Amino acid sequence: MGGITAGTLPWYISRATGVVALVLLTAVMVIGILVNRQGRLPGLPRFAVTNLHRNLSLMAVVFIVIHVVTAVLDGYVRIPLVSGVVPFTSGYERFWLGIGAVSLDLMLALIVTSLIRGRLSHRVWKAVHWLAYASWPVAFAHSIGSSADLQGGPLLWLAVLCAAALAAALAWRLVTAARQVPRAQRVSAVLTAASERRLEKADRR
Amino acid sequence: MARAVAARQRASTRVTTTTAVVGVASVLAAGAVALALPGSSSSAAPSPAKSGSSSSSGTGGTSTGSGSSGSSGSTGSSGSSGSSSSGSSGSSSSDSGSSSSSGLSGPSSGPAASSGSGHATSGGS
Repeated sequence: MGGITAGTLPWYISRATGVVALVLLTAVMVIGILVNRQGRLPGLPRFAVTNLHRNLSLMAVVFIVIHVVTAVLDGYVRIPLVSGVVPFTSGYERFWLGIGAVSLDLMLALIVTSLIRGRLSHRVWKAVHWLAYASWPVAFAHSIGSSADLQGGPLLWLAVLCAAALAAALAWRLVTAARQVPRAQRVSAVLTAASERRLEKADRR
Repeated sequence: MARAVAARQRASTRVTTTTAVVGVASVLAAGAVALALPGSSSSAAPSPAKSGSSSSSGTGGTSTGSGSSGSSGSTGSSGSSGSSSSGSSGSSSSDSGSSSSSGLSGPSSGPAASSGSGHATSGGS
């Protein structure tokens, strides 16, 4: 504890919450992919998985806000608060902090449109929600590029684990999507299956 | 019907519980990560680098021998933040043996170290 003092506390909080936010974002992404493909978590119905997805998203945003605010409060590096939202305005690590701001903006767009989902058309909401696929890699690049913490040691393995989990979820989604019957052919597919069942029954008789 | 309502309530309770558990676990994890980060637990204070100027960097430099592990990253930054020639020269001359380790851990301690060096190069030059 000797290394953490009142002066450096925001700095350590910022780094730690950044790491936790990355893990939470990964969990949100994985659960979001599961929900979208009718996936379920053990013991939870689909509506509960959706609620969990929303709760974890909000929790991740809370951690990200703490991450940004403590980085601004830290006195060693001068990062204006506006740089947390407006990309590429920070004098320090302009690019890496800039893409961090881009990621935060994308997440805010996702959260806001989800909160007012009832007032939006499903198409608009879904179009904005596709931004989630851009938000995670941008956040990941920000994490790796701006912090040397994740460039080696156990935290690097944590980052690799996050990337692997998301890659696995994406692969599962692509595979299930490829297996799925296209929407336009679903009715005919169901009718064909039903008629085949009837024929089988008739044959048995 | 009543069974379905009860099942729904049970699922909602599970979601609330899971959310609370994940929240508490996240906070605990953040604390653990903060303590595990380079420079957080060593005796050589890395922090003075940020607030304290050349004087603190001097102390950091002297204690680098013992705390060459994590704090050295910020020690490097402290030397840089000090930007005074005495602070930097002190660390470079006396700690040349240990400065190699501090140089290694410096980058690993995070952006602060890099930022510090950034400031140092600008300030020093």
